[in-house]
Amino acid sequence: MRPVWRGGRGMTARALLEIEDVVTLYGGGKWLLGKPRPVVRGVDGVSLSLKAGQALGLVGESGCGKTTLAKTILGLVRETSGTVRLDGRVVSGLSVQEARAARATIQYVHQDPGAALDPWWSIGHALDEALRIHGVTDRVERRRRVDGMLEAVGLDSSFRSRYPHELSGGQQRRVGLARILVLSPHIVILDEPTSGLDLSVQATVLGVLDGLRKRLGLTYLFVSHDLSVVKRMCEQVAIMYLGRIVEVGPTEEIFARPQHPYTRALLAAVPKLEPGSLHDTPALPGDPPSGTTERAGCVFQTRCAFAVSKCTEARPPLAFVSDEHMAACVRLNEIETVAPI
Amino acid sequence: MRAILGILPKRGRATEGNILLGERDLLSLPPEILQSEVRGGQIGFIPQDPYQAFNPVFRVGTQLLETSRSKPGATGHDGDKANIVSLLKSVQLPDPESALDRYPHQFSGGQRQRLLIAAALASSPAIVLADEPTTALDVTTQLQILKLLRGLTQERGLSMLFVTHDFGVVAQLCDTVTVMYAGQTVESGPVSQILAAPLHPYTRMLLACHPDRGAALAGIPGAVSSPLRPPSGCRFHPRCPSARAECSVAFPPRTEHAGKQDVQCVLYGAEAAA
Repeated sequence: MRPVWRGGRGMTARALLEIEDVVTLYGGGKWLLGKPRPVVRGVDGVSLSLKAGQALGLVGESGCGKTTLAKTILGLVRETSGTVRLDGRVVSGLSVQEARAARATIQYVHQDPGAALDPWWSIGHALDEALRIHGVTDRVERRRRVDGMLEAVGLDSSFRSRYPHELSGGQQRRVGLARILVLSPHIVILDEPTSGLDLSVQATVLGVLDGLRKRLGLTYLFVSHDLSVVKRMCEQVAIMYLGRIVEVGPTEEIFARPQHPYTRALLAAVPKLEPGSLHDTPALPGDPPSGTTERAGCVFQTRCAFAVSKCTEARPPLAFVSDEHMAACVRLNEIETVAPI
Repeated sequence: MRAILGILPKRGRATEGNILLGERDLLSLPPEILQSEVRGGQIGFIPQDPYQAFNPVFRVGTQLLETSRSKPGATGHDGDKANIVSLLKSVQLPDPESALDRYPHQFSGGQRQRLLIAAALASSPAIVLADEPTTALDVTTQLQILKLLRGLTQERGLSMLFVTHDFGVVAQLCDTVTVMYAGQTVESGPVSQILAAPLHPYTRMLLACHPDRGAALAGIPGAVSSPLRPPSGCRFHPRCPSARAECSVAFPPRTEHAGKQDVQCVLYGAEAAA
């Protein structure tokens, strides 16, 4: 069997969430007039594991399958193949309803929680509903938990009677977070939790998220395309390109010594705060290819500066670079010597 | 930025001051001259969202040629077309000849931004205003566009006003920077100087919010004040840790520090006076 990243080589501690070789396809079949519908390989054989209390960053560009992977883990989209294990139990191969029920301890915070709040409902009402749906029947108990959670995200119980339009963007995000956390999940999937926020508001929201994780012992899957934020928030990071994980490992190590050519290009493209010349940073040519074309070999070959003929032959599997760090590239050792970082 | 272009919403007006382009004050120019000579003439504009800037039902060529056709001195359809195609080459759009016959959805976000840059350059402007042109793009595409803009401005001797909230982009692309808060400019100067030693409390706190910088992510306490009832004096004073009594009375004048760094804050006004 080929090696699978479980947080590190020879790591035996059981992970809270393990996903193995998960594939999620969209489309397929035929259009109305019999023309075949193209298959989009949204998630294409991904294996990851999440230990309790850890924050794993999932990084990649628009359309690479981050959100599809998040929704597959959540059980909102059915995986085409592969295994999902939550707390040791297999929770894959179920219908969407069953999968969601089996994965109730995984919750999802939307990209723009402000838009997910009903403008006619007070904040207290929205939070109360979440608890009611999840079977908390005692009114006093619900109220106590709502107040407690509002306080935990840095608001206070006076917010219960306010309406979404009275809140700032940062406050809306906190309410969105409170609405999920009030259900006491173990794993929280955060989908771009700070996109569209100003720098100062982003800093506040990140501070709240970090504090809550430590205080409530939460496990985060942090989906983002903002590398500076992931570097700040996550101990582990997985880099995704066209439905596949191309590199995964400890954040510090990947940022210091990225191995996959895509990771290297991605990190180099982040505008640094030190004034510098754009000329020294080579830009990746072109755009990512369409998800419908299936290509033999490495998914990144069309844009890779290091591509050779063997890159077109077979898909490179993830291989260990160091004890906890894996990358999927056939030229791992050569690239280091050709172009040292 | 809209004040410069004279496209403020109907109820908005630039009430004081002037906007000089060369010798001319744009605020006193009649709207017809603004339309025929300034907008899409001496000043080019690159909008924020390449996904929304095009009308999806018209070919890209029709939309790009529309601007040059409405100007006096248009060289006729074929001349304009040749001009646009050569611009599409200089913005490194793949397959520029056939691009004009395609529809907006057939281009990726980065390619659409290249089309918009070509449109902004069509009239050989002296100044380009870019309103967060890379905010909607991924980092690798952003890098392509930033390199392109840098190259084009140097090649053509263009000046560019680049509006952004991303200090990283400023550090990579710009020579000088002006920091604004609630409609007031608080600090301006060479980029390297401001990044190394920000003076105004707002600039300092903003830079400390950057994930690469701040020791502890704290944010700035409070929220941006309502533009309907802005605080008196320096608009940042309700959120400023070093605010004094006089901060709510008047907005301090601009003072110069360490060469070219201008700051508008009482903390430095006192020093300069002493």
